[in-house]
Amino acid sequence: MTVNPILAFSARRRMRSARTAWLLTLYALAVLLFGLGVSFHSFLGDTLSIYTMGDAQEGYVVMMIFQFFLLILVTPAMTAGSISGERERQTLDLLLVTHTGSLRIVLGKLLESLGLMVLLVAATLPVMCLVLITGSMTLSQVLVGLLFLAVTAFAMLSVGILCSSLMRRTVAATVVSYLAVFAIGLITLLPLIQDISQAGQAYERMYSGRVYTAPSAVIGGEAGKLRLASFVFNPFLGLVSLLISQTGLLRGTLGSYSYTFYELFDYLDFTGMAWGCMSFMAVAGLILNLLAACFVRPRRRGSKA
Amino acid sequence: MLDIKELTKVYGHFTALNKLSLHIGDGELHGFVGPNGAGKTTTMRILATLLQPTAGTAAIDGADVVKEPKKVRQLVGYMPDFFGVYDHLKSWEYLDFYARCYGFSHAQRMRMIDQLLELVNLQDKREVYVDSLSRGMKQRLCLAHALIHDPKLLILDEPASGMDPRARAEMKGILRTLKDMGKTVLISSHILPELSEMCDSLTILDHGSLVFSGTVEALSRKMRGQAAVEIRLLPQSDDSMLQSAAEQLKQFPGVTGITRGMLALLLRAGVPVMDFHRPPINLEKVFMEVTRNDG
Repeated sequence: MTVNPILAFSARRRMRSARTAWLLTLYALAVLLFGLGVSFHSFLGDTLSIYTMGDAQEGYVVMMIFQFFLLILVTPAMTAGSISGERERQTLDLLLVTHTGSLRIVLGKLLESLGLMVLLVAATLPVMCLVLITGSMTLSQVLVGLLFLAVTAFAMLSVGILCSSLMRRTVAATVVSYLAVFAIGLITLLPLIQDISQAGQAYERMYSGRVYTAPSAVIGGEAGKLRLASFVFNPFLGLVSLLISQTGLLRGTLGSYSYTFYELFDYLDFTGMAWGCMSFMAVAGLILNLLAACFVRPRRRGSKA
Repeated sequence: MLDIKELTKVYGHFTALNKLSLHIGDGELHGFVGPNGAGKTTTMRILATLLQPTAGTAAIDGADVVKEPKKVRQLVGYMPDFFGVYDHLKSWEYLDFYARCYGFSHAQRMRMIDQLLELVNLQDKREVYVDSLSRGMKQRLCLAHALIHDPKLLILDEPASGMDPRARAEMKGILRTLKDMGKTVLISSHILPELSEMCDSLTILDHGSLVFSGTVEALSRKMRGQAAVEIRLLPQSDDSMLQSAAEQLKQFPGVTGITRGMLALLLRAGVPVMDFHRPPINLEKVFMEVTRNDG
């Protein structure tokens, strides 16, 4: 099996660029400074105790959320110029007349950007592993956290690549990518209204009768755990699910938005929702890439050469 | 090698190409001439499988450009009129990249890269970054890229545009070499004299329609036939001799082609003809003449 030439050469060009070195340095530096700031409180304030273990978990949660938003900020721009840039540079035609199909071009571009994102996330691994010192988190949990970030990056990169294949200009593609990510964030929050109502109904049925009803009877399912659509479709709520499933924290934070969530906290399937969110983002990313491949040759029938 | 039948491309209300029919034989160096907007690039993009025609067919070595695009891409090497290069990539890496896109093995790639760089006289620029090459060198590198998969037909869209005279001469030399290698070359330009020097045959397009297609000689003959005959009489000729000559020439209204009869008649009438000839055709004028309706 040969390496995708688009991937191999784009990566080579990217790594030769000074911009990449700066991006890596600044990203790792931002996470490092943030991590040190969080750790300062946890590790230097007192001797290691059960309290500092809790602090380390909080530090992990905060750093994951910080990295999540840092990725959202960086990723759409990474691929927004991948196809439109080829058009602007007038190199796309040269690629399209080779034996490389449009799907291979899109995948090459995507994997190259994803590779850089993985590199960015991996560069922060030493800082993220600070939380391992207290023993409050396991390495596998941290790795699953980074996997979630990588899948989020994949989905965001896919949004960027679809916009890039649709737009002629990179600037337009970049603007539309950010707007699309923002819109996706808002739209996938819409099921939250239904979710709150659903959770409320479950809560009422559980406690309204004279006799306490078991959650499994109210919610259904063997596990007796409730899965909420918004936590599966919205990447940020998906991350929240993951962090809750890993640390058990954020009950109060969640409760401040919805009392029923606070009450039903123990009956929500956070692990299932987190993995569901990852699966959703992975599948959505794949579909976006397939669509992008269709639009790489948009002018075969249409507009003026 | 190339058969085009009634090829048409319409964009909305604009007809870019109007029922173009053309045949180019194996090993031919064929020039595609026309002013800007004549339909040259549209035709070439259709042949390179980058654009779909509205009507008509085009086949390269029997492979239809619409129905068998993969087969056509194997047969065709395409160099567009405008193209960019990648930054942070050396000349050999540029060719290596496209060779990988064609699926060649490492050994094959290394061998062909050196051969191609030598063919386009860029062997000493092997380790130079592509974005730092001059325009002429980039054109030659792009030509090398079009040759990577050893195509039978080369489609070169204005390969010499923007080049200085030396670079143009080098490009002509390379094209002659390609012809000697047995490649069929379809090359476009809006400069007729430039193409007529190196091409076996020419097609002139204007407003998407075919104006002329044939050999350079046929074009010359056609245009010479329309050119005025220059007749000079001996210096001592008087007005009566001129009148006599004019009377004789009235018998040849709208004649095309050099006619011996005309000269013989003048001589029999005693007109003191010192010089009787058609001036050599000026291809710039020919181009302006055949495309005179260009807006």
